[in-house]
Amino acid sequence: MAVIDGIAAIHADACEKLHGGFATQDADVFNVANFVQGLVPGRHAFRREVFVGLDRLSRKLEVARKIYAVYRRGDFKPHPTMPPADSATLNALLAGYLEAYRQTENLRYLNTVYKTALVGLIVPADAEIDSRIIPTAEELLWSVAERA
Amino acid sequence: MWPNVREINLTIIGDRACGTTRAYLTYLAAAGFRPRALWLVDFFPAPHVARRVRSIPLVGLSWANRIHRGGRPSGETMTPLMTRLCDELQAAAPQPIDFVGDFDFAHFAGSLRNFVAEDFDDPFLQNEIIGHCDQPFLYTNGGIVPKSLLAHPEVRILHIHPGIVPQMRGSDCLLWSCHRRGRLGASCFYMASGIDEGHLIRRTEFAVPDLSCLRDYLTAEHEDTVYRALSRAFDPHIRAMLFAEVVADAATSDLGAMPAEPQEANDEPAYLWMHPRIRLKVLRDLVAKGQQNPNGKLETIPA
Repeated sequence: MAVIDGIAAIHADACEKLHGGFATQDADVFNVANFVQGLVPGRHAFRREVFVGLDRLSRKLEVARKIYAVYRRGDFKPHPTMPPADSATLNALLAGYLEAYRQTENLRYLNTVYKTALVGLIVPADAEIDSRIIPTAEELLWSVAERA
Repeated sequence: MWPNVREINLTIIGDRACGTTRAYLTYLAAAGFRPRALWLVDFFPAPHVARRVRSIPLVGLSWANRIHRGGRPSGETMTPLMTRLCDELQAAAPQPIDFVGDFDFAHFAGSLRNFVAEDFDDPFLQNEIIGHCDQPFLYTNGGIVPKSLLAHPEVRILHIHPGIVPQMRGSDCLLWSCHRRGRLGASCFYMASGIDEGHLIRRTEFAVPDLSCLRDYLTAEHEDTVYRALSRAFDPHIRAMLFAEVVADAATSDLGAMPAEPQEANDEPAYLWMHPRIRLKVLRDLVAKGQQNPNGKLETIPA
């Protein structure tokens, strides 16, 4: 399987498990589950605002090591009434970072994947990381030919 | 060793454990300069009782620091491999430095003070800085400098960052620079509250030198040792080469008032610490790139 198909499978499987139920249409909030559904691998190059979203969330994953379901747009602080992001959201997001690396070859994005999956998160502490994510990251990291 | 040195109005806040202090002193001396003062600081946590006596009016800070001095910094573990790599890395450098053995700090500075501090949040260190802010400081290590100190109107702290700002800000920028730009870089600026922000004095890029001494150790087992050796005994050369150039070319004798420009706008976020798996890949790329360097030495790339 080409690496892009592997990323797409991780993303699709995670998105199937996503559930709604949050006040997601509010223009003042950034809903992570909505955001990750737009990170479809291979379809087209991510737009600039997608990379901005990934960059902001990477700080949550790598520095705070906490990721919540919804953030306030103004200060990008967690929305006070919202729960942590669930595993499906997190896996779809990590697939987005794999795809961002595939598109840009910027290791910044793989760094987020490794640190999230291998260092772990404080919130949610019980996230179930898709077992295909690290092997896919390794394939991307060490195989230039696969990215063509 | 360097007979005709000129004293410059600078206090180096030198972390004793950090190789950067040795590098700054060595390169400044080689360029004919020595700082007026060197504060050689052992950064390590204060015992609980020292923190408690700080609040005693008038004498609390000095008492707390006296108690703190009774402790011992933990220091970095120097394995035989680490020691050997630190030594072998000097082959590429213009000024080889002993980053492991004893170092005669007093030889390189007008005056030398030894003291201890927890970090730059330590009120004793902050008081000392504010009390001596008639001359600029050079930062070497010791963690984040608090905004309140940087906001003090008379405190000027110089910093050399191992990356070209504003693009290469944040942690592990020696390696991120190799990955993103295919070369190494350093920037000299007056510290400000943002991450590697602050008015820019000069920046320089360097071709990756021959680092083939690391080649046999670019494995998952030894990656951490290679990374620490580079941080301790290679990265300081880049910073010190740039700083010596800045001092030599300074248009003013007041290093606290050198011409400096705001950094250009850049919306890329700062880089964060690099996971060891990524480091291994980038370290291999770094060594491979150095092998393509026909000269093999650490040299600046002309602008």
